[in-house]
Amino acid sequence: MNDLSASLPPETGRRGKTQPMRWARGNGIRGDKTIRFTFDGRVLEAHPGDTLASALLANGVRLVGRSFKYHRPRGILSAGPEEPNALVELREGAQREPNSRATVTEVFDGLAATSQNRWPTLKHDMLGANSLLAPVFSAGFYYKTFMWPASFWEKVYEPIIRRAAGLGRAADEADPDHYEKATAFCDVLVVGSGPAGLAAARAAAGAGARVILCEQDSLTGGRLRAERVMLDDRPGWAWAQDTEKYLRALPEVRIMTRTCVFGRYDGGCFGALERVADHVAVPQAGQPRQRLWRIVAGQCILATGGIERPIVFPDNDRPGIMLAGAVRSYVNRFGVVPGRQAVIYTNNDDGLRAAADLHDAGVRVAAIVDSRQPSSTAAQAMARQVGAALFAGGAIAGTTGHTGLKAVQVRDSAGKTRRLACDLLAVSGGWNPDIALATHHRTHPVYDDALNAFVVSSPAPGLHLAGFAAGALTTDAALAQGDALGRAAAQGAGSDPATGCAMVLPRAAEKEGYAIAPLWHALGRAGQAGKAFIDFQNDVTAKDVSLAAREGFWAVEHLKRYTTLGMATDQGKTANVNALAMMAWERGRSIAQTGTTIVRPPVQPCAIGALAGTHRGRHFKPHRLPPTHDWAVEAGCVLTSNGIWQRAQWYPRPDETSWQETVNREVRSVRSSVGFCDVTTLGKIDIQGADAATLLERVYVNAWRKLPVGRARYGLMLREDGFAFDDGTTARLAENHYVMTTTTANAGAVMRHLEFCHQCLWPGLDVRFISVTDAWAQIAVAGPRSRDVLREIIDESFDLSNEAFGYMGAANVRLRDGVGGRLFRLSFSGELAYEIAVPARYGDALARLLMRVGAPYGITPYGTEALGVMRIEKGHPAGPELNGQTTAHDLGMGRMLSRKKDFIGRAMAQRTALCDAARPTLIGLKPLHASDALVAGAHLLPRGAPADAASDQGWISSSAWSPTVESWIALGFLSHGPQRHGEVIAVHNPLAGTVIEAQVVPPVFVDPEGSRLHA
Amino acid sequence: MPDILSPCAPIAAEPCRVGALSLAPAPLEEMVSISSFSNSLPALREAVLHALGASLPPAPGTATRQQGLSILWIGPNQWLACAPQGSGLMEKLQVACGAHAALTDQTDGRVTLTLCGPYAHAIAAKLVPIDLHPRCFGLSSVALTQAGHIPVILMQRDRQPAYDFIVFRSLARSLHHDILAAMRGGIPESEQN
Repeated sequence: MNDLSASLPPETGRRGKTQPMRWARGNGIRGDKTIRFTFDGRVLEAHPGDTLASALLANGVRLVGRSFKYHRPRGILSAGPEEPNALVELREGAQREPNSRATVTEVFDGLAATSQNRWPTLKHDMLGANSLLAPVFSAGFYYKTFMWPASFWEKVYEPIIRRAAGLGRAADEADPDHYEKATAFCDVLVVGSGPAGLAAARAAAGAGARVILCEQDSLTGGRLRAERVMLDDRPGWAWAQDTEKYLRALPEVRIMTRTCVFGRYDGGCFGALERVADHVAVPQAGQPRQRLWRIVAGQCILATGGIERPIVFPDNDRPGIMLAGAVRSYVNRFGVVPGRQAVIYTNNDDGLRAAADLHDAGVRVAAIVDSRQPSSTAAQAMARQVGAALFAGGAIAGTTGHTGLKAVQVRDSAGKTRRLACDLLAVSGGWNPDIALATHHRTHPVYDDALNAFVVSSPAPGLHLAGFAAGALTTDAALAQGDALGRAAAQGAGSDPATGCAMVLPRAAEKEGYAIAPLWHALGRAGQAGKAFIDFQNDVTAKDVSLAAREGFWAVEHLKRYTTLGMATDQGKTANVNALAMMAWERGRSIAQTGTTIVRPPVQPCAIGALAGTHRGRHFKPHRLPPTHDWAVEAGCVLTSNGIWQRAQWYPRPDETSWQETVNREVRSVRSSVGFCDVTTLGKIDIQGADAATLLERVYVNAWRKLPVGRARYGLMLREDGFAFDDGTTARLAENHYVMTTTTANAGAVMRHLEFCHQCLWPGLDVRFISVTDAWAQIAVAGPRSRDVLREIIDESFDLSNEAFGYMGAANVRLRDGVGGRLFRLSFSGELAYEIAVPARYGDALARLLMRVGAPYGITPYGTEALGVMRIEKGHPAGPELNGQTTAHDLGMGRMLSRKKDFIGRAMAQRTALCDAARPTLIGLKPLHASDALVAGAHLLPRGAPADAASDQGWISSSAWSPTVESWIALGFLSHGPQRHGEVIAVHNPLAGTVIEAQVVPPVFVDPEGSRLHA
Repeated sequence: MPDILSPCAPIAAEPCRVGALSLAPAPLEEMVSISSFSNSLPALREAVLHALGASLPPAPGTATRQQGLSILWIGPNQWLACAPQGSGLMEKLQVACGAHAALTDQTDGRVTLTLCGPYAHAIAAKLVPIDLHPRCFGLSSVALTQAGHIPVILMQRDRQPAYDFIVFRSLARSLHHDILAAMRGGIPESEQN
């Protein structure tokens, strides 16, 4: 046994200069092709099929990163998505991506990877001194340490802590890559393509089901690629390859590799992330980097396998300490040996496999430390087979090697400790079934004492677990279970059982055993020297769990929050069960009694970019464009968003220096001559049927039955609760035919309201309605010369005179060139005005025509800003007044409420509080000094009253500079408003801290008699 | 000589091509929505058949199509009839069934964008969250659904496959952008097994 403590053997000559640890081709590697990548600037070689982790190991790189809190040197622990340590930054510049797991990152030619969380270099990290301050950095340290003074938290403590702790750096620029989303449907979704998953997919497809098989890895096969399992005398991975080929040839099967199913949602809906171009240097033009899938499945089989547990012992985090299953994956799939002299530390027979695989790969296995006493016959046989010393009932009591493992301290069953030189320690604390997806619907896992792990005993309907995810311990069992569940799921999803074609399952050549004995801490207790890590990613140690227990944070949810256990990119996949076991031990309870947390989606990190898909920047939301959009843009308008509508806000001229100047001009043009504005965005609803008038009577507060054909009327709608909902005009085009207009903002809501009323409240009404908002280009032509302009456009046979077509007239008209349209005499500005509607395809031409025929009158297009100024001048309520908190009475429309009929909101509008005369009511305001700006949102107070809530009597809802009145003006709501016309009150703007004086006036500043309107 | 108003389409007529896929607005069609009044359905069915020589589709989610004329189901007792320009669709319907149904001209309210080419279904699957498998959505199937954030009426025009996205005119340009982006994103590898 003397040779055990000898130093590591020298590198043998058979290994070349590059990739010195590559011993064979590996079943997942294309060894005939060599590619290059860089790690921290160093150029290294790899083969297609390598992960960054396998490529680094092939090149003898063991130190990969620094830990989160203590900056401990860390290597590669796993060979899968559970990796807590080997997190790197990939790519550069705008494409830089932090916290990428080296174990799932496929190497491509030219990949640039950088270690993170270290300064100045990975090997010499200054912040490693954090480790010396470890007593300060125990669980909950910053809650305790940085409490005082409180004001220091944001400015001093947090920035320092954030620099010291934390992982990678996000890119500083916008992500230049594309992302997209897609939906897929299937009868049976199979997650995972190991033996169980492939057998399930094959059986379900054979039974006639539409199948989607998702594999997060780049290759199918799962553990069949990591192990040397023989199936019917062929390597298991070859069976996987053949099965995949067979499945791909079936028309109803879709195989999605590099696709991680990350969440399970309602209604058989799953979220999955496909890494479309993560494994290439640059995506092809237009190609997305990643694609987010929504998969809708009738049945789902989770064949997600398991995740191996590390063992908790002092200094168990050195580079070179690796999960035994990961070691086998590197040896068999990647043809890489992660060390030259190995020690195996296990509490189960599965861990022993690493000894055989390493031995056959030419690695010296110095010892097998088996925590079981007595050890199994399998362990004894293995030790003989590989020529290793066996420590039955032994433990690893510590390790040495600062930036890479050099030796372990083995404590034998008698308690005697000795040092064994090794550069690889393969550990297995047993396996946890990967049940994360099964717990997404609040299904609580239960603890299985025989398996020493949490399982899902009653999965949600339509969900089935197969293979090791369901606790199947052997390849044969996984195949059989997958096959049976695949067939059953196909039937559950509606396939005909008769179509199921029987297929012969392969059989594993060897007997596989597990024989686990629980081992939650190598030394049985936490209080030993050296840090025994439980959660590598968050630097949570066994001591931290003990501390949490002592301080009362023993509930699993508290444990997690207090110690940060199980957070960040790996979500504690390798840590949680060890921590729960430790807590159970601290509390003297069973693991089952201690319980576990359940998980939320996503089970693996998912970039926000993928969730956004194509909906980013300018395309975050769709745009609705009115028919005159192109013309308006040509005319140089400034656009504004009105919901998702893009509207012209104003039309600046080259000589104008401010928007205010432009808007003033537009208003003056309308008031003195003529202007036009696209009002297509107002909702338009075509209403027909014998009961159309009845519907209007019930949804509007005012009367409609007597509205003659060829006339329009203003209407106000209330909500059921009596508050104002929306307003607009409705015109009667024929006996049973109306066209209703709504505000732009509420077009959809009013349509929904009408549908609700018709479908649910009064299905008996014989009325039909449909949106025609987009069908008509509707343009307001306003101003004293508007009639003159229209005379140039409308067919001469139509009499436009005030007598023939008065205010609120509505008619079908024909334009001079024969295009049919509608004409309404409506006015939002208070001027003589019309709204002319033509089929939308002519909207652009109509705008150009108006510009041409209106030129002699100085016609000017105006935007939403001038529209707003003029409606305030005229006292028309709009969005800021119809804000959902005002009543008809508040708006000065109390008298519109019909007493002769019932209508929606009538009863509730009569509630005492809503009829209180003291309620703030619509008024106009004019500052005593015309240039004193009134600001919407300002509070109205009695003159001289203190600016406090007790004095508050109302608010300003809309304000504008009125070029017509040559003063600031505003609309607002003031308690007892109408009785206070003439009173001077204080307008308090708490944002600017100003108080100005203004006079209460009627809310109509221009043409209160309406003579212009009726001209 | 009166000024002539020339029509203007929101999307240029030339098809956009990505590989073998193409996206183009369909030529402007006369469109009329038909919504039957109470107790008028049997009479309406007969009148439509008489006036247009085609029946209202018998079931939800389907369309009747013949010789340039299509009638799409677009809701309970509601259809959208489409015919080439110059067919006088509205006039024919008004005469035949004005008493049985609300008829509303939608010619200018909707724009039809046609996506076609190999794997068009895979592109459409990036936009609409419905099952486009031929067993679920075949030739002349109709669905009221969402393409991304945009409400659309979707119809399979051709087995090729080709899809008609019928969209509110004001949203046509946004939808055109979104479909084109989906086309540029390529056919998912898993479609091409």
